[in-house]
Amino acid sequence: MSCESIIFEDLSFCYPSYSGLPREPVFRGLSMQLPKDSLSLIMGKPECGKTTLSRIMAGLVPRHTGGTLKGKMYLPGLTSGMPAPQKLMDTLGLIFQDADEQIIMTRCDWEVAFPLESLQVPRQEMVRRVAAALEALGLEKFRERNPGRMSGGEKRKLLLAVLYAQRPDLWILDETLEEIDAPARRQILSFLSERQGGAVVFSSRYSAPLRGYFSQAAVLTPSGFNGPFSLEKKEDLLPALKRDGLFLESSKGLEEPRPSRGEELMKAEGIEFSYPEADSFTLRVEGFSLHRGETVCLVGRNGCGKSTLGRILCGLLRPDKGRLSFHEDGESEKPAHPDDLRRRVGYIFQNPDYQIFLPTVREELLYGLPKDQGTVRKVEEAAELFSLENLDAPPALLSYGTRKRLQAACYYLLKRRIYILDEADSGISYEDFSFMLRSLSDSRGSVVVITHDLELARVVGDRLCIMKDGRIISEYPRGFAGPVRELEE
Amino acid sequence: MTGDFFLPGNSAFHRFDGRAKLILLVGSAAFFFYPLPPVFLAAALVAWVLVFALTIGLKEAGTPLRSILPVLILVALLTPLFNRQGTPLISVKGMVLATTAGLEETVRMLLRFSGVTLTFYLYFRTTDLQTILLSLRWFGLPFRSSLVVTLAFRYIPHFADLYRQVSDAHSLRAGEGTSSSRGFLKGVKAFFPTLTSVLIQSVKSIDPLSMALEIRGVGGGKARTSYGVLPGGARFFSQMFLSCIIVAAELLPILWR
Repeated sequence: MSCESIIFEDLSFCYPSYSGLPREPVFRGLSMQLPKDSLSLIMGKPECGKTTLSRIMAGLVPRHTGGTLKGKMYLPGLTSGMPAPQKLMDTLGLIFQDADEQIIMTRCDWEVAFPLESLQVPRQEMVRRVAAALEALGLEKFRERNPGRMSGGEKRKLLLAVLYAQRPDLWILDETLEEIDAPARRQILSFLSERQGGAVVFSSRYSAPLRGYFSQAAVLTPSGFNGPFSLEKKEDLLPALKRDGLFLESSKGLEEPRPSRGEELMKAEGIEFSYPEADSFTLRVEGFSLHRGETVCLVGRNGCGKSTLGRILCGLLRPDKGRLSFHEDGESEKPAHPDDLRRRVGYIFQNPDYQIFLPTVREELLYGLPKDQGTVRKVEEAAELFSLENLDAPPALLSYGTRKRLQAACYYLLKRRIYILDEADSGISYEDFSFMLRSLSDSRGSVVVITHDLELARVVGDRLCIMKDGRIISEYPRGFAGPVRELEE
Repeated sequence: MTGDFFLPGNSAFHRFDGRAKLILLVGSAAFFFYPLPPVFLAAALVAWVLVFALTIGLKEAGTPLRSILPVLILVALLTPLFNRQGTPLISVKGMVLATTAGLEETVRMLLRFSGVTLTFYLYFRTTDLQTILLSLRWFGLPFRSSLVVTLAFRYIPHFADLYRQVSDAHSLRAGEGTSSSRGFLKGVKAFFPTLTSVLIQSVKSIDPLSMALEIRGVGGGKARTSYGVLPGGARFFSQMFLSCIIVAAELLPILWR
């Protein structure tokens, strides 16, 4: 008899243990029932097992990872057991948290068509579905584009287009909506709530754009689910969210008194930049400055140039035109060479694995620091501050959230003047992000936060800079609560 | 994981049928291994350089040759030492360092490496991944084997792109009092840590890639339909004929000798 709901019965899972890294179960005793055609939200702190659970649902874990899975799980449309993932294509579709891990082809239309080929869809029908999917996600002009040249949010839209064309009954989205701009997110959520078939959305936070679309939500913890809660009765859900730092208004530290804005620290004037292979995108920033003690948020739609500007400010990209200058303590303003910028500006990559390469946590923290007794003490303090418990653990085997904390700890020790956090809030809770921000901010320096989360930007930013088509088109002061029309257009 | 060699364009070589290009690729790469005097290999190399100039630009020919320059230098230095038959040309204190036969073999090896590199580079630069996949399947290679071949070749630019990103990321972690400049010596010193990160990233991407392929239906055992189609008709046949003629013509020097 086919199951009509998503049912978890006492589910628990433990990854295999490695030498020096014994494993505890990721979660245990998960029991919950979700209606088949509903839009359900499952939230949880980093490392609570959201990605693991999404992959268990798709039949990928423990098939690819090993480990011990106990308990039972029933998905709609499946009569018994868990078939191979290839056989589940009509039943469910999964989008990974990291879009780069999932994109296979080198053209957007081929990417969307790839699962349709496996489903033996006739070519004429395939062409029609690919075109409809790209249009539904606003990607028509990217039809022949190489996904490798798209922004993070655009890649996630592409993966949504793949599911749109594939048409599985159940969609499973693992932190997919985090980096998508607000209008596209609303469009996708509206589509999900109107379509036939259910969706389970995993998220590390409960933010404004998600509210109003879901029929129910649950919080995933190591000891099981809290919930599900009907979202018509938020008073039941909010305590669980607040406890785990998943709710912005309650996250500790984000509203703490901030250092007052000091003198100018860095200035960018007349900046112009184009990628050699880009179609028509040019970054043009007439003037942008950073002052001591301030946090500036760069917000804008996918592909507007936020990360490009961030990379110019830290010296990774050299602008085609324009001037960058730095104003250090006691010195007059002087032009900033890219080498100077790389020593003074810390750029926190969205993917922590790009910056982690040493065999142990201890060696990562020591990298780039002078070798003396004082350094050893600072490393131990930083490890404690950033909750890095095992200094001898291999970073490659740590969870994503721990690697993000390690990345932040490394920069904390390097004591940069300016920090640029590029989508650093993605995949971590508000509480963890606020901790990262507090640790890296001080009255002598400045922080630039690149994010899609407008709510977060309003709370943490002393200034909100809105970017569009490679330009900074407007600025809003701290505490601005009105609508930001530029992001809606 | 979307690295790609392909350079979009509208040259005659871009528009040349993918299957005909594959025949040309195999035949022309094999030519550089024929037992022929270096002058023939040099002529073939010059011909390929001309094709570059007429299609994607002469500057593009420099890119793959620069990447194999260390190999070419090693070949130039070591081949004479391992081929010392024939008339001695350079001797030092009675020890023969280079002979005519050794030099001839060195030139042949250099032309071979360069020729094969340019041939493959031009093919992948002017042929998109989907066409390569469809062409391999047209020749009878099963889908999974074709996918393995194309993913393997796609991994190379992905690897290079990953190296650049990791190198950028590492350059930002220079400590106070040290230069984060990316000069040659710094680059050499930074090579192994960067390579370590890249290797870790590459190995870690294996599982997600297999997961991504499985949930898209690869390995499901069913025959696949195809989104892309390769054109047929008179143009296809004439290009196939032309490729076969060129490959046959490449055999003439051997038959003539």
